[in-house]
Amino acid sequence: MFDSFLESTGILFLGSSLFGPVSIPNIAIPIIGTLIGMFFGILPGVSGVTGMALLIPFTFSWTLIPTILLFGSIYGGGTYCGSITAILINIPGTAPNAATCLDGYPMARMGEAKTALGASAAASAMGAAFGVFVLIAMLPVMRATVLAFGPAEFFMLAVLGLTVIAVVSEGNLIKGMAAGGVGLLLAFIGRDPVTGALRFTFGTLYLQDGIRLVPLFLGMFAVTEMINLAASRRKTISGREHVEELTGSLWEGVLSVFRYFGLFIRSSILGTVIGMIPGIGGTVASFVAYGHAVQSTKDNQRFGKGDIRGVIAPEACNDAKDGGSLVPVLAFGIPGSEGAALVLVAMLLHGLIPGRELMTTNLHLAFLLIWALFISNQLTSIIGVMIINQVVRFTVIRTQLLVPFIFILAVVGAYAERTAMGDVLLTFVFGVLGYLMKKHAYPRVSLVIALILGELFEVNFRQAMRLHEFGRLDFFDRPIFLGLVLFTLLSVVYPFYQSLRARKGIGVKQSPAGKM
Amino acid sequence: METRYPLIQITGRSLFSFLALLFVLLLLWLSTGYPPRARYVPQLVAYFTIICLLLQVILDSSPRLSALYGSVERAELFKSEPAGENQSGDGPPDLRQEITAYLWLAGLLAGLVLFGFLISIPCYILFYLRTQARLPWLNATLYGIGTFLFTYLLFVTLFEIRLYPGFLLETLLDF
Repeated sequence: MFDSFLESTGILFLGSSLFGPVSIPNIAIPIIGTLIGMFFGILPGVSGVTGMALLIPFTFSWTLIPTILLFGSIYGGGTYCGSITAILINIPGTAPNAATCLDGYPMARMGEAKTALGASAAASAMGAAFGVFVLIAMLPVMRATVLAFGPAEFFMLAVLGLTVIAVVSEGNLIKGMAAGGVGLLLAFIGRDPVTGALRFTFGTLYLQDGIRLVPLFLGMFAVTEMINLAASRRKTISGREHVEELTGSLWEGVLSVFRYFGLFIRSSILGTVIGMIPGIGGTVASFVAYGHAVQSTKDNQRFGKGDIRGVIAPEACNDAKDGGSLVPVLAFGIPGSEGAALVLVAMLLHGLIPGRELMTTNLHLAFLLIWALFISNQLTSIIGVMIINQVVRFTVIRTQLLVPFIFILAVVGAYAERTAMGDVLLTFVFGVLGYLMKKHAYPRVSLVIALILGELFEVNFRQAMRLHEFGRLDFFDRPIFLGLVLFTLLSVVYPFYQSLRARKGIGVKQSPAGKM
Repeated sequence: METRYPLIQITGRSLFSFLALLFVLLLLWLSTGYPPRARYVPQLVAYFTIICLLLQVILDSSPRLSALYGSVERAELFKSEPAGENQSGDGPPDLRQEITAYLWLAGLLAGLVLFGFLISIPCYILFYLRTQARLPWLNATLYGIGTFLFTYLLFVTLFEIRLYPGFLLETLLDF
């Protein structure tokens, strides 16, 4: 494992050819990715996920290494920046930063904007580092686990991944399950992997290869968001016309993280653990951490009115979650969020299959992804603090100036993968479908996760059933399989229990930042 | 006083759930023609999805039942919008703007199919920025030209991708 770590570190200082004969050092790619992630992360309504979806087509001609570095760094780069707008204008750049609004914005109103930004930057950077170290520590365990998996375990894992739908559709369970069902059915379009029969192709040649992931993601995450922006009444992306002057002390904010180090560590642990569980995501994580900060503090009267601990806890938790969320992606190819799904798609498009292969022969590539995440998480805090005054101006970009360019990037990007006009049409179809889903409160992420897991689900189910028929597989003889069954049952029952509690009013608080 | 919701009310939301249900029913019907081993899993999933969608159609069409189930959330439509004070000027989407957005999208698609990428893209940017963002003609034209150059240099020159020339140009070239 140490060799792979050294190999990945060495690769960082080599060069990669991105466009034509011009080669750039690999270490520069995470820096570029961080800046891109920051740009998209700071635009309310547009997240790093949109940026990742738009960039997929640009990486078709790249090799695997720069692609991993780029996507890993965009994934990490967008997380902190959303807190800048949350603190300064009470509008979180991304949903997970919503918890930061609760105390960050009151601090800004009291003239302590820079203090809150300093605390948020330090908590993010240190929280992210914590998450990454835990991820590295988990690698040997992940490796051993993956090697013990057979078709039955992979099938159960896919089912477990699908139960994520129940979690991400909090409050909309039926809609989430319906969207997941449609996603699975869409995954079955094309040639049946076992019998070779054509399914749901409507007699077209185009659909014989199944639904392509690039048009799906560009449609669902770029076009949908732009239709939403175009149809909204916002004049600018944030709805604000002007940017105000900043006051307070950055340094005092940074030091406050050390003053409340216990809270920081507890929040980071919460974030890492929640990140490892597919589907729960950053929004829930940051609100859980905020709730923990309020509950575990004796003098908690200032929370909600500008308490710096209300900034430290959600930010540390939110960034620590990034490292944890890569555990199921790297080990099993199970994405728990849209961002993780895009990292996975980028790897798949370049021929890298997560799981057994990544954990053994290609372990250095897993380390490379971790490096990209680590670098971007640290850089984004440093750069973010340095250029706060400039960065915040992006939030007053006029909506109608941004929309057409993203539309164009999305359609050209969709076409560029295979030069097929069908992909362009599919991007539009998924864009409109995504918008209607968003409008009618159907979680898009349920459909996307189901579509990605569809093949893993079906192929392993059929293989396991065949092995069972031939008497070569006894389900009750496999502890990992049984453990997964138990875990799946728990993850299905828990949301029901939670919604029952919520209906009875037993203190389950719905997060104000919503879902996808 | 307890709010009394109507028993049946057809809304855009119930219509969307109903269309989704029809789509899944269509897939289920199509799957009946496939070999048994190829249709087993899709049918299983389709039955499950149909049950979910049926329930959802009933809940969406009946505010009274929906209230019983506990899912009448008036502000549910745009949950993903940011928390905090509503300072962004957001509300429910303006139907006119929504239709305008669809029309611009359809226009772009029609333009791409008929005239291809290199003609449609700058024209789209020019007219969109002029009419929607209300930029002066000169600025809109400059943005249009800039986008054309970006697309051409990046995709045609650097990536060596043959961008679709459009149905009309292809027909003309065939002659």
